[in-house]
Amino acid sequence: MLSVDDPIHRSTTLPEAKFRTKYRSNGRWTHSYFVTNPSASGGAIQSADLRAFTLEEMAREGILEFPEALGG
Amino acid sequence: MRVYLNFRKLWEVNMGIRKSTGPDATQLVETALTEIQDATNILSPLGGEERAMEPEELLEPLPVYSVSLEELAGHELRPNLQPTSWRYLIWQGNEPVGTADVDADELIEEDSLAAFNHVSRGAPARLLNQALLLAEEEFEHSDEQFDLRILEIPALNRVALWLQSQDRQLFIPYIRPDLLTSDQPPRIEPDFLDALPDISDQTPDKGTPTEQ
Repeated sequence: MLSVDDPIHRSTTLPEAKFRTKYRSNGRWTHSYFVTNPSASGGAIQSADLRAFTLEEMAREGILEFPEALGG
Repeated sequence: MRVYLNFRKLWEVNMGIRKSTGPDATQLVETALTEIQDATNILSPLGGEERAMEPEELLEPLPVYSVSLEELAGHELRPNLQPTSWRYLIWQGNEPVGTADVDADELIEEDSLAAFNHVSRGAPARLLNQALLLAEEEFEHSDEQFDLRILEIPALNRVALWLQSQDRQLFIPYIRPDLLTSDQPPRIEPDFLDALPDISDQTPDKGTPTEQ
């Protein structure tokens, strides 16, 4: 399961597969934006701070884990 | 800890409002909520609303018609739209605390989460309940009979309770950016579709993404 904080639909929890292909029934994951903590670079977010990751890349880089217990 | 829910009818008798008969997905939602409850120690990175719920009751579902901009050509709904999901209002005591959506095109099986789409918490559940109460208050004894549906336009961030009779359609928008930040309760807006923003203005500047 994934937890999503959507500014309109608020706190939403859904299976990862639904997030990829059927977010709110007809949404589809097309692009990724990864934002680093701006304080790490001493201020506002710079374009160099932005990097896109797929879920697989996040898992490989150790940024995101999918515990077996959560069905990931 | 396993979640158990009671299933409650929306209205036993209501002269002016006709309900579609939706599936009883109580066991499916119980299974999904149990999985979610077991993971509620995960904190929201954005400091979102409290994730923990102690749900007790599931309200009879409403059909959700989630439409794309293509299906909304000319500020009108295409005929013969099919429901994309069924939405169940989740209750805890006397409070609506969330909604659960089950996909309409997936077979509902007790032991599979394949049909489960998502659970949302907080303000959207409260606002949907306010919209239902308003519909009941206005049309409970109406001679005109309305089908009760939910219209969702994700690309425009709009969700409305949709009352469709033989001759007309009425909408009670309950999710819209301005409604979520005000105390204004939902109200009936017959011109909801006409008042939608110009679709051509809805392409935000997304920066330079990397394709997945």
